[in-house]
Amino acid sequence: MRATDDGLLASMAAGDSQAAAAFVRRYQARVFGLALTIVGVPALAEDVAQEAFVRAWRFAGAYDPRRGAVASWLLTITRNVAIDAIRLSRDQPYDPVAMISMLSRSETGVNGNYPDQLADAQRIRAALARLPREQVVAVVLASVYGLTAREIADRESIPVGTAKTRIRLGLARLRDQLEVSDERDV
Amino acid sequence: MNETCDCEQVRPLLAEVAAGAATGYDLALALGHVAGCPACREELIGLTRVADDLLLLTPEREPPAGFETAVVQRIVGLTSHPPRRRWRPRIQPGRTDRGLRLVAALIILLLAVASGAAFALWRTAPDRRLADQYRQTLALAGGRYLKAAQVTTDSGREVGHIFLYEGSPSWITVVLTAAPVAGDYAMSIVTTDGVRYPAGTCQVTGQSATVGYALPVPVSAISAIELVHPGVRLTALTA
Repeated sequence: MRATDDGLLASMAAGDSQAAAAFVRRYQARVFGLALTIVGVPALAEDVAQEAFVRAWRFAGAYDPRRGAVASWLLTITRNVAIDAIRLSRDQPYDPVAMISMLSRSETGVNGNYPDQLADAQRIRAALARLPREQVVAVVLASVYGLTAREIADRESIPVGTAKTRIRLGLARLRDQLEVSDERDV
Repeated sequence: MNETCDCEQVRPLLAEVAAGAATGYDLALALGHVAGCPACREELIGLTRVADDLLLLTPEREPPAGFETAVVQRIVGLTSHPPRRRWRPRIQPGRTDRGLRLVAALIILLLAVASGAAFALWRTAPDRRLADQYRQTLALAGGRYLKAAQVTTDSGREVGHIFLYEGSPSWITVVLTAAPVAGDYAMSIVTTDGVRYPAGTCQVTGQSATVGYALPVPVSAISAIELVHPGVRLTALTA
């Protein structure tokens, strides 16, 4: 019988190395994939992914399932470690054009082993597809790559106010789209 | 400034905060407000969930062979502690004067405790006065406690201090006196459950900087403060 994410995390927090191994096995492709997406260099991505799992283990005891799924929690930790690594190494993230097109492809993201997460990813992708492209770029550069409004403005050659507006409208519309699809599912 | 005005001013900033794109004054304003406004806090949580959910779209990639083993070895290495030395009694069993020695030891201990208490009362009087002043200062603005920690480089060199205040609102002040390089440092607050909040920018001129922001979480929930500049990371561990 397959252990739940919460169960694995709790066992890992209690010092169970087998649970830690199972947890890493379950999520390593997701974590490494995100790390590689952000930092773009396999060796650095491996360091980032390792550090993300170590932090997850360190903070596993404080994980609160009411605040979100284990996958989101772990990927958020991974993103934070990756952004730190980028800022430390002065590396620039991938070209946003390539990145947006990658996020929009239906074959990327979570695989069929996790039907719930696959459905979530499809909903998010569908909602993203309904946004104006410039808003998608602003939201993804901020949310995935950790760029500030000023950095996005510099990168896109737009005023800071415009970058802020794109982030605000994009994220709000994305949330509205996802709420609508939630209501339809109910 | 009334509550409605604050909400109107802060609501447009919440998406930026949720996406991690807000800095400086905007971030401080938003975090200071949501700390005391449940409605805006809920709005921020909802937007943050949406921003975090975007991470589900990134493609999976298998890491290099041996990755799982390397991670587990790191975790096991961090969990293993050197074996503790066991305390062993020095008195050998079977000694006939054991009871006598025990009584003597108790008398000495009682004398030591009595004289120690008297000495401590005299010696710690300034500390107790300071504690009273500390309590009065906190009570003035409804504060609960103050905390300080060293800011160090990755190599362990001390470069400044942070000061945290638990109150309404809670706040942080960062004082750098020996920063390795000048420029803007992106500040983050890392909580004990691994969540990271951007906390604005610390602008270092020469080697010095002083900056203060409202805290988005209670001081007790903070495990570290990080300041990152290209090629440099400064950390203050608070947990």
